[in-house]
Amino acid sequence: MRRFEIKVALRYLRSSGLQTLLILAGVAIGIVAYTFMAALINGLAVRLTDDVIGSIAHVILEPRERLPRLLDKPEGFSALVAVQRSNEKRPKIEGWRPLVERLEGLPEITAISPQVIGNGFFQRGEKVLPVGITGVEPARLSAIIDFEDGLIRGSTRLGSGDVLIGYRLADELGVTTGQRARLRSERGRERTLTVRGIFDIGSANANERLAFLDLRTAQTLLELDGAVTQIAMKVDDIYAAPRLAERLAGDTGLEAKDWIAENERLQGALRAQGTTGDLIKVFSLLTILIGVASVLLLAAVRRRGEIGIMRSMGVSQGSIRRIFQLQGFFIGLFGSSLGALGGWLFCRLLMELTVKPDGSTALPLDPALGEYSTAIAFATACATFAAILPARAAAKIDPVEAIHHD
Amino acid sequence: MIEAEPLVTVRQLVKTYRDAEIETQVLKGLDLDLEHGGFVALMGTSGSGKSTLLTVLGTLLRPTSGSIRIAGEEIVGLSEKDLTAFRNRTLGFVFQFHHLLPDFTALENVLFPTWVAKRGETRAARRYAEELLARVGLSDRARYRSTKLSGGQKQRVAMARALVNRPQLVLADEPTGNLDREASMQLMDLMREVSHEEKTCFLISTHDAEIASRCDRTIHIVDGRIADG
Repeated sequence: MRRFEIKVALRYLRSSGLQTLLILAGVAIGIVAYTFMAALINGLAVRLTDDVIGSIAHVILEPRERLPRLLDKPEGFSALVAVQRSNEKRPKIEGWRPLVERLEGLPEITAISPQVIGNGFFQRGEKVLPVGITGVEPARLSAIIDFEDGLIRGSTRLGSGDVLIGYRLADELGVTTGQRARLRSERGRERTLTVRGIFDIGSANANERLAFLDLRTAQTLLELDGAVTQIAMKVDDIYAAPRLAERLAGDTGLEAKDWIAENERLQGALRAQGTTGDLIKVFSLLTILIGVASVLLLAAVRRRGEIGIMRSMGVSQGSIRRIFQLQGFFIGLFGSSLGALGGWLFCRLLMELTVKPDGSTALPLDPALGEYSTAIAFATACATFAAILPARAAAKIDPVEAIHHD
Repeated sequence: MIEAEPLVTVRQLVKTYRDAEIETQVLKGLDLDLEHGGFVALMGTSGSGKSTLLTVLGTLLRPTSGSIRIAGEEIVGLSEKDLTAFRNRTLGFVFQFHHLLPDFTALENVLFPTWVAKRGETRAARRYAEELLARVGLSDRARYRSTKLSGGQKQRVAMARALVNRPQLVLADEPTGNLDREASMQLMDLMREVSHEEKTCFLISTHDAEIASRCDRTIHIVDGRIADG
C-alpha cells in the first residue's frame, strides 16, 4: 500500500460530494438497521432469559429414581420387558447438610437452597384449592426467588406455622396477611398457617399455585423426617449450567437437571429469533455490498480519462486497483461508523419514547448489545469486497484509449 | 550509459492494429534516433502514425515487432511492471488536452509523478515542483484547483508535471493544438529552454509548420516510416 493511493482514494471520495454523501448515508442506514436488530434481538433474549432464570434454579439436584434391575436373559433369547416404577420407597435426599456445605464451597455456585417439594390443599371455609408446597430454610428464602423484590404485602420472615403465598392464591382464598388458612398435605397431615406475606414474582403459576413454608413445617407436613427432596442452586455463568449439572451428577450420584434442558422451548424461541435477526443483518450487508459496487463501477467509468493519465505517469495497475479498493474500504468504515452511532442514538431515542411510568421500557431494546464493532467490521469488509469488481474494471482500462477518447 | 549512444534508437518498428478481421499496419519498419537534449518536431498528415509512434515510445502501447532502446534499455519485452516503473522514471508526457487531474490543485498535479516514484511526497520534490511552477509562471496559481485554470495555464501545469521527475525524454502530442498563437509560442519557448538547460529530449508532434520551425530538428513521418530528418 502506497501513501499516494490512500491520498487519491480519499480525494476522490471528498470531491465526489453528493454521491459520496448518498452512499455513506446508504451504508449508515444499513448499519442502523443492523445494530437496531442486534439490540432488539439480543435485548429480547436477555430480557426473556432474565425473566425465566430470575425465578428458577439453574441447577437442581434430585434423588435418582430407582428402577428394578433387569435379570440377565439367557444366551440366544430375547425378552419383552415392562418396567414398573418402584413405589416402596419415597425419593428423598437424606444427610443433605454435609452435601450442601460442600456445594457452598464451589466457586461457580452463587446461591443454594435445600428444599422440600410436595402437594396439598388450602382450605378456608368451604373453599378448597390445590397448592404446590415448597419448604425452604428461612435464611435461604430468597436464594432462588427474589421475594424481597416480589413482596406486595407483609414480610418475608418465615417462622414455624407461617406461609408466603402469591396474590392470586390470596385473592381466591380471600385472605390477606395475618389471616389464617388450613393446609392439608398429600400425606393427609393438616396444619393451620398464618399468611405472613403475599408476593407477585411475575409467574402466573407461582402466584396462583405455590405456597412457601419453613423447611421444618413442610418436612412435618410431608412426612419427610428431616430429609429434603431437592437441592436448588444458582450459578454465576448460566450457560455453563449443563456442564456443572453433569459434573455434580457424577460427583454426588444424584440426578442433576439444568435450566437449559428444562426450558427447551425458550431456547428454541431464542434460536428462531436469532436466525430471523441474522437474516435481516445479512440483507442489510447485501444492500451495502450492491450499493458500494454500483457507485464505484460508475466512478470507474466516469474517471476513465484520469485513470489513463495516471497510468501514463507510471501508476501501476495494482495501484489503480488499490485506489478503488480503498474507496470501498473507506466508504464501509466511515459509513458504518456513522451508522453504528446512528443505531445507538436511534435505540436510545426509542427507549426514551417508550419508557413506562415505572421506568421500564415497552421495547426490550438494549443499546449496549447493538454489536457495533461487529457491524463496522462486517460492513467494512463487505464494502471492500464490493469494490473488487469496480477495482478490476478500473485497472483494466486501456490508458491509450482512455486518453484519446476522454 | 554510453555517452556516444543516442537517447532513443528505434529499429524496424512495426505496429499493426487488429480489429476483428481487419489488420491495419500503421508503423511499417520505422527507424529513428533521438539524441540527448534534442528538441525535435514530428510532423505528418493525419493517420500517418505520429500518435501511434509517440504512444509506442511512451510504452503505453506494445509494438508488433522491432526494437526500441531508450536511455540504454531495451524496452520491447519488458514486463508490464517494469514498463510502468520505466515510464515513471524516464518519460514525461504532454497531451493536447492537458489531462490534469481535476480533483487536485495545480501543485498537486505537478507533484503527482513524484508521489508515484518516491512512495509519497518528499521536501525536495515539493521544492522542485514549486520551482517548475514558478518557471512556467504559475506560482500564484499553485493552490488553485486545476479546473479553475485557463487552457494555457493548464497546459503549462501539464508541462511542469511532465518535467518533475527529471525525465530524459518528453513526448508531447500536439501540445499547442488547443492553444491560441501567443500561448502556443510561449509554451514552445518554455520547452526549448528546458530542453537546452536540463538536457531533456523533446519529441513534439505537430501539424503546425511554425511550431515545427521553433524546433532544432524536424522529422516527417509518411505512411508509417520516417521520410527524412
